[in-house]
Amino acid sequence: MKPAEIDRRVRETLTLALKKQVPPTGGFSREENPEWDSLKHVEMIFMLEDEFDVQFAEDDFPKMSSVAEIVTLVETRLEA
Amino acid sequence: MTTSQTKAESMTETRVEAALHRAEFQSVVFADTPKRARLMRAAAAMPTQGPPIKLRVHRNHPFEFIATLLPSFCGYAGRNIEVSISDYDDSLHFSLEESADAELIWLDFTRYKLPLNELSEWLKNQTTLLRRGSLAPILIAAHPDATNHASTFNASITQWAKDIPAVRILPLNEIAEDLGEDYFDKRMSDVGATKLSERANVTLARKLGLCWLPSVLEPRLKAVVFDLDNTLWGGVLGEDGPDGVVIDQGYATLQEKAVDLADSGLFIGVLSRNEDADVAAMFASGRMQLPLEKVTDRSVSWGHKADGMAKIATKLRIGFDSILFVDDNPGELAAVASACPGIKLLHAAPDPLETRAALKYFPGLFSWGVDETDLLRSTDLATNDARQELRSTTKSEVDYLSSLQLEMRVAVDPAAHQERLFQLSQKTNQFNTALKRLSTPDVAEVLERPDKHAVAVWLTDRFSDSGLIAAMFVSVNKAGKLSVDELCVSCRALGRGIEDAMVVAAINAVSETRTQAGEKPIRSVTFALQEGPRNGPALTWLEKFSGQSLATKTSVELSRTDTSHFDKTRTLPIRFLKGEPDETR
Repeated sequence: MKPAEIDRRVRETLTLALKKQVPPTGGFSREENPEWDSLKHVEMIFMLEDEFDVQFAEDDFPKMSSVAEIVTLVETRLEA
Repeated sequence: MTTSQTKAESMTETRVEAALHRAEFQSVVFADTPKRARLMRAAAAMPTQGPPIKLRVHRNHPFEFIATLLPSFCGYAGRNIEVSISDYDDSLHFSLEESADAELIWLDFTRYKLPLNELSEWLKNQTTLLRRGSLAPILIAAHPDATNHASTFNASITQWAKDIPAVRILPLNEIAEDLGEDYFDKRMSDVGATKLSERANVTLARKLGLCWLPSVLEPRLKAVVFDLDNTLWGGVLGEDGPDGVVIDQGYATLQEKAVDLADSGLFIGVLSRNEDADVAAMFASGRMQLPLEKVTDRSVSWGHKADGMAKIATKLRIGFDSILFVDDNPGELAAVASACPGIKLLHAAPDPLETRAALKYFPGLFSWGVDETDLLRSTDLATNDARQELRSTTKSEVDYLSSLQLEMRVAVDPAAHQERLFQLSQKTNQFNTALKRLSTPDVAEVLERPDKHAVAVWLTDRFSDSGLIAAMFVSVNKAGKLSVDELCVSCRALGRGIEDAMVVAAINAVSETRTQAGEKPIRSVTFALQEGPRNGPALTWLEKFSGQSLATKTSVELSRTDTSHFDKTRTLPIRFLKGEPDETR
């Protein structure tokens, strides 16, 4: 899967999980969006695992704090 | 075309569209492992009606991962849902300012230091407190662990839950057993404070939204009517012949599910465009897992399926809104939905196992065990022909009643039968005088309040035990004036000519209860009335009973002493009994 496609699907998933429109381009991080709390974070992880048919490790969870980080992680998981 | 015709046609179109639109979400809702994102997208597009279900959750661990999925499943059932979740609170300090349609106690029992037997006792006390503060059904999530201690705890809470009205234990242990290691996801403990896996969240949300909540908020459906070709078997009987149609493992499993539904007390119907002789031969061929004796009624012809459905509903004496119709042809589903208001639809998938999965979860089919009322309904229907034959051979109405050997039992405020009283209010169409459609909390309030009463009537005759077949909800004032807010009689009990007797016995029972409590006896009775699309039989009866024209009236009043019905009833050959039946007999 191409990075652009992963990026698009990550943003769609976050939009659904956070109930907030994530812009199609540019940075989007947990730090800047207070609604991205720990419960939404778990829900987002559940949805991303479904979306990409991957499983993240517990150690990955803190590293998933922005669209860019998630895209990189998904790429890694898909390559594994 | 008149405005009213246009409006009626428009409503029919909307109804059919909504029913078919909902069918589009079957693959999302009934999937083996439903996906959260697909469910959440579907929720936004599903047609719903009526006020949202208000679910109040009292918890000490996250419920949010389930709550966000409930709109999808409740939406499929046609309802919106609003979930209000308490703070994390091990002490269960209930906050009950707003009203709720259902209460859910959602606890992680491993957080408590108490021995489980003491925890059960504490939970019982808390549930009793909640019962006093809320009239809504209470659902309690069981301990999901498979340990002996957890099993003993679950057995304990299940036992005391029977003694508190409208309390149900959600068998999380069974879900956990089904999912095995997939029930928990240890990765999430730290980050989300939940131990549940996504599979567990989705499975529990589906069970809650499609099975558990509908079962405590609405009466169960009464019948499932199946098409045959490409629904209960693969292929077309008229073209492929009895040896050509496919009953492979998938169709056999689907037919077994139909048998399970029949055994759980539902009527099973068959509605097919075929030659009846061919269908009869197919059932006699030995290939069917669904035997003909499990099929309560069948309508097989080349006519319109809507007409066949109407015949089945008439034969079973039930409304369309109590029926689920399963067919592989969307056109047939649309035609039946158009002509049969309120009927529920399930599109039979090309893979019969998908249809089987849908029947496992379809809203309104779930039962907490074999329902005695459902079983009595089947027996009553089966013995109806015998009653008709008896009527034709007896010389008079009194002889007929005498030969029926009727026994009528009346109880005032039988709290243990709250659920059945609720069912009668919700589901009776032909004999319902005021169409109030009381909710579970409404019925609970009637049972609690000193100025209101719910009267239940049980009926048996020589052919069958019909069970609790009538409910009368009344208000009484200090002067002995009784208002019948709603009178509903199951259509199973109609046709024996004993409606007067039931009502008089119910009024007498209320009067006796009031006088025993030091209040004045009942002197006058006012019946609230509301004309609906199908309650003509009830209003016709009331007109005759009161001796008054009901035209333009919203209520009708009669003096208890003036009417002859009260005296006449005493002379009828019916054995009248008081109090609830002894369930242990």
